[in-house]
Amino acid sequence: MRSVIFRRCLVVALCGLVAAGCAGTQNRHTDPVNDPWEGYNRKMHAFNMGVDKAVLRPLAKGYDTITPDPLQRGIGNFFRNLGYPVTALNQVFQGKFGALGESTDRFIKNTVFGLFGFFDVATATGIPFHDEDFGQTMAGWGWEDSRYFVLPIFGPSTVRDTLGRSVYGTVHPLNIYAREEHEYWPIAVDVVQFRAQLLFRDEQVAAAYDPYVFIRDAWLQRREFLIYDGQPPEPDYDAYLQELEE
Amino acid sequence: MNTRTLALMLATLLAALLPVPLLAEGPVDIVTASANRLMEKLEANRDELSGNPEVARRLVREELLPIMDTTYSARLILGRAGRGATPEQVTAFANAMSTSLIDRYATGVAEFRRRDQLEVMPMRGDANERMTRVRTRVQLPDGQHVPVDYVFHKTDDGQWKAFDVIVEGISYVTTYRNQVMPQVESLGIDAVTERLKSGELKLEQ
Repeated sequence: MRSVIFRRCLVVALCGLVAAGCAGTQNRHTDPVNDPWEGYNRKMHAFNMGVDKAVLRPLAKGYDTITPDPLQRGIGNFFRNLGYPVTALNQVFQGKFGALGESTDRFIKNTVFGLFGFFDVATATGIPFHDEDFGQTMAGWGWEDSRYFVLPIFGPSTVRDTLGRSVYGTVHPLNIYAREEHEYWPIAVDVVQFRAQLLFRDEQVAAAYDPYVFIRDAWLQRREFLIYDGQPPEPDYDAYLQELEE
Repeated sequence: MNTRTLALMLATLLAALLPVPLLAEGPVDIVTASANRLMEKLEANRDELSGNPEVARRLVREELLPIMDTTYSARLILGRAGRGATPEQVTAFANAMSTSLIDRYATGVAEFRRRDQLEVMPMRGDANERMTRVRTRVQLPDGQHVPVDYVFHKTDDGQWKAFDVIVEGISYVTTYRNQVMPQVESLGIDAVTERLKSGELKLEQ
């Protein structure tokens, strides 16, 4: 009961905070993207690309060169496993208890039998991976359509997911470790590992006619995919066609 | 009503019911069959494949093009930018676009080894008369599954054809609309078709 009240209060508080976001009436499928801050976003995107080119990408390339693939996979698995508390908490917030069971099962198996998550034994036994965070929870609570917002360094986001990220930061094990122990290298390794996983995308981003739009559209669609747990509605093809025929 | 009339009525009823599922092959069967044929061909041509991307491209083209409605995809991608374009211009654009996409796809598909890397999921209840989505899962070498969905529509002559591919929720059609539309609007459709053909403009995902 307490949790229900707490949840209600939180919903009310959040909606009040983001009334503008909640009030959006446009259909995201007919209106391709909610990006009223495109001017700012493009500038921040350019800045991020500069930082990436100068710092992050060279680091990721170096890491990719010296780290054998199986080791990279293990490191990636380890960090993915550590995301469990964030996912579990948000599964509770969204009332997804079946999925919570699976994620918990996965976390225990990978932690105990997979050397603290280094080996993903759960995937081999067919336990699905669920990805939840606070941005997705807020989307589930009704804040579905949030404007695109490029963050410094972190990159693509929305107003909703920026808020979500700030909560995420307080409960993620890596952040807690950093706060308690003043050890920041695990976060740095996580970031470099994450960037290395995206290296194969660089060429296609560079080849895109408009890399900003390419990243934005792909990111927003991917986000919606996560919000709908892999079952997002189809794009509004009829509207696309109507545009042509009008 | 005598027995003969009844039998005739039943026969007519059966005739009316049966041919529909028999004649029109469902989208799930189409994806399964063409994926299986493609895998068999890739296995059979394994030796030629390495170092010869043209072979993979030919095999993929042979299997994929017949099940796709590339003109329809092209019209969706062109959107408002395609207003006023002649059907010939749209077809030429569609051909250039599908060639570009298939060439990219072929480099990836040549890496496929075993047939169980691709799994076609059973149909769910969201199919309708005109449009349906076939869900598949591709298994990557590290064991992760990537959902790759094919969106089909029924053409005017009653055949199911695919017109969009959605990889992890990212739709080709939606993504390329915003890449292609501004170019067509500023350069014109013929120039964009030429850029696709020359490889100057790449569509990748």
